[in-house]
Amino acid sequence: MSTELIMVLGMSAVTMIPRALPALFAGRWQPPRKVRQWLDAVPYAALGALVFPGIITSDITHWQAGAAAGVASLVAALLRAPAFICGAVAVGAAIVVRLIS
Amino acid sequence: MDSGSAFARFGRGIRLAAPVGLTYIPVAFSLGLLAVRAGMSPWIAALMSAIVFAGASQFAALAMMRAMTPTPEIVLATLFINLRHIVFNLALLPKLGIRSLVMRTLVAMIMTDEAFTFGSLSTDAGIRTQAGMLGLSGTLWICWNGGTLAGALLTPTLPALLNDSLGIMIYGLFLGLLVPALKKLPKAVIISAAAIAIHTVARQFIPPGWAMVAAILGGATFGPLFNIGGDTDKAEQVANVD
Repeated sequence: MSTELIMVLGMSAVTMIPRALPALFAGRWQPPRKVRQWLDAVPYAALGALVFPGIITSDITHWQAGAAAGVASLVAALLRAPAFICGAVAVGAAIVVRLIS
Repeated sequence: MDSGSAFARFGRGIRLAAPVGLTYIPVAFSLGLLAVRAGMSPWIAALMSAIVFAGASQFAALAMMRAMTPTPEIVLATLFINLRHIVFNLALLPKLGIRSLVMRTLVAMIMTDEAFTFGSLSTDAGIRTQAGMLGLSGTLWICWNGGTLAGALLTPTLPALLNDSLGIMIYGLFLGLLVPALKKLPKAVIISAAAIAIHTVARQFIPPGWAMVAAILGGATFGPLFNIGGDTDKAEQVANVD
């Protein structure tokens, strides 16, 4: 089996098993508030850690490309652009920086 | 409210999902492009969308693959990123009244952030049934998978300069997800900032994959520490404004 296939099967198992667990409880049990707050906080922590410093180190030869992409997509996101537009804006900014540097 | 026949409720689930599903397609398309660029075959990329079906964690896995992160750390990060779905299913499943364990499990396994929000908030009570949720989540699943496969298969046809710059797109997508979420819950900026700080420092001392896991776990503790979120009703009210 390829590494990618093992990774995808592992990702599926750790996503699907927790998702399916509540189906076994018929009742309305809820985890304590502090636990819910921790679980809710995970995506904010993950997205933050995923963006930085990865965006700067993404292009080893042109860190400016990453910085420009970050600023451009941040502005787009603040102007309420949908996520895929922010992605396209990041690519556009990186291409411009690469062409002029 | 009269919920109508199962067939009618299934159809109303599809209609509720349609506008959300349309917004899934370009994001899934980007995912397919990035997966192939990260070295995955188009079919593995499609399989990932089919059997993981959790956007943020799929993008996270690709970003970690690019950083040469070993598989165990990627799988562990996926576990933590998707753990919140337990809370969604604990809140929503009891309202659906699904008797069959198999069907209840199926509905639970295709639950996403969007299916939970729209399913919980819809004024149409017929959505909160087995047929309604299958129509809603099933439509989202098809859009997500169709978009991924299209992006994965089209990657080789792109011009070189564009192709070389596509890796950066993932960070734009992350910002495009994070910023609107922070606008809804501004205090959560503490959580993201803490995670960035932990990640930046930890990378100097431990392998990048574990630095990421430490940042996710450590950053998330700032949620309960500063009493941020965790209130499903309030989250629903905020989502309702959109």
